[in-house]
Amino acid sequence: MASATVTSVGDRFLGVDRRTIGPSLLVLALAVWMGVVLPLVDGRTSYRHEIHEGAVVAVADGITLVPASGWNLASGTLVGHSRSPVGATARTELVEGSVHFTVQAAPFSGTASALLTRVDQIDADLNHAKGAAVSTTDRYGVTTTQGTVGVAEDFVGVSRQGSVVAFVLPSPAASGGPAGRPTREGVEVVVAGPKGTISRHRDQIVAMIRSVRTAS
Amino acid sequence: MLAEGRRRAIEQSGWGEEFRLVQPHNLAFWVYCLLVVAGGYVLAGQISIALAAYSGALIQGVISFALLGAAYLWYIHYEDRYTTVPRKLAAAGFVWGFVAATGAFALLANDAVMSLYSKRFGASFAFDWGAALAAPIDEELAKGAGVLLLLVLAPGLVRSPFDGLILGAFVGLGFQISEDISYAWIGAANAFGEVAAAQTTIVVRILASIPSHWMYTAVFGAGLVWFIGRPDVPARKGLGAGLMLTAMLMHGLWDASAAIAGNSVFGGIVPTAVAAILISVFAWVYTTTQPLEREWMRDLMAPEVAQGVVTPAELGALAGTRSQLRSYVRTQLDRRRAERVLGAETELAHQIARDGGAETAAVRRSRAAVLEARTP
Repeated sequence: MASATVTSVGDRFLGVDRRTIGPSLLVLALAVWMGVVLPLVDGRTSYRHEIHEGAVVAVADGITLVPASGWNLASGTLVGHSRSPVGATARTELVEGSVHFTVQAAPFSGTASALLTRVDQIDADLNHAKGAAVSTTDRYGVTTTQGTVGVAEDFVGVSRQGSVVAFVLPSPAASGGPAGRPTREGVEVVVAGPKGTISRHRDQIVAMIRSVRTAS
Repeated sequence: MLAEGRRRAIEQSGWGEEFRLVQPHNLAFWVYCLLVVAGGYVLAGQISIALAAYSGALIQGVISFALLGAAYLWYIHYEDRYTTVPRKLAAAGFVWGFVAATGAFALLANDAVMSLYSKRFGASFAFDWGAALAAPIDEELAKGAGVLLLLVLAPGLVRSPFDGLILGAFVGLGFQISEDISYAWIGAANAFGEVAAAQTTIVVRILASIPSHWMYTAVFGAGLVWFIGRPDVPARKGLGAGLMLTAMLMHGLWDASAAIAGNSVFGGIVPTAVAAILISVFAWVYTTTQPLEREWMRDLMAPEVAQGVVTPAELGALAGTRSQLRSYVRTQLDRRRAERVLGAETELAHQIARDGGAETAAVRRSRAAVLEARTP
């Protein structure tokens, strides 16, 4: 039985069959381009479309947030700016320098406190796996301008600090709960940044958190 | 004359050759290993997150998509019914798609390109078109790179565009199953750890599994072989490049379905129409790449017809299309026996190829098995 290799011919360079060098290096170059160069280029590229006054972010179907002008929308979409529908499960990330403001929305049938407990448990599992030490403060209430009451806590890690806020909002879009009843929409806001930097943006961050609302 | 045709068919097709991955003098072997290890390292980081916080979703994803993967592996092997791709080569392709193409290429590049689109053109543009403009290029090149490496590792085995199609399908399937599993636990992660969200993702991914990676990379693989050419298949640069671009376009169309449809009433129609186009393109490539393989099967088995082991009608079925095979079986009085005979004849073809056309004891046993299969 024959064996399908190309190594039987003596035309070699440094012990390697010359015919295999070109295509192999091509693949290696592609891997370096995609796995190393592109992430480096991305890391050195700055945002060109900062948010202007009056913009509204579609956090999920039927839920919005008013971003602070001058911040950048890293992921997600502005209301009226996209063709694709925003689903009941969606993620938005706003960035200002090294401060990240992340919003995760998904159907959730419990209370805001239960949502924060769930988020805390997931974070604890992840931190345990990473061996990271993070301490959190007591919980406190946060109320949006629309009157929705959420629950928040602050955290401090080795190099970053921030806050986690949980809301549960009535959502006309989310449905499919038990017996066909509409479910509610959980919204988790995580603000994180290097120690000291968050306080400089405190007013903007608070305003953004309080602007979370359902479509009337 | 017939024996010469058989010898030529075996030589041209590489049928019966074994695949050996470990080839220290072949640079493709080292690059393959390096990138599988690199991809494995990246995936291990992902899996550790999934295990720590979303283990239920991860396990459900692994079980569901392992079953789906097994079904598709069977199907691809079922369609590869002429000069079949050896299992070890298929496995190497699957592993490349599952580990290297995802971990060492796509995960890193997709994130970077999506972020670059967002930075340059705005997040709303990236929200609509980012996936459709990033993934088709990154992922098809990542998977196609695997087909190219395996072609360098097994030049004697990948001898026709159909071989490229089948090998590409295995690479694409590996990628698809890897991506499916990650989508299952990411679905739970995006829903505050809710396992039900993972189940929804699993159902959606299974329903959308036909116009997916196995199909794109099959088209890309056939195109790559045509682009490069093989000893008995002259290079057709235009057709080859066209098919590779078509694979990317198909992928992009699928990813852009939601943005194309927008909020219109065509929300459900667009993905269905796109899926129909993708399947039609794949079917065209599949039927266009088959004739050479069928010719090799015909040449290999022609001496058996001369010897009276195989009938001309059976050879027509063996070397025919799937519908010709079905038509032949339907016309037989005893269909089960006809299928049994064809199965034994297929095994005889493989044995003849494995033994390089020589008259060995194993070939004689396979021939006897054909005669035995004929007995009621």
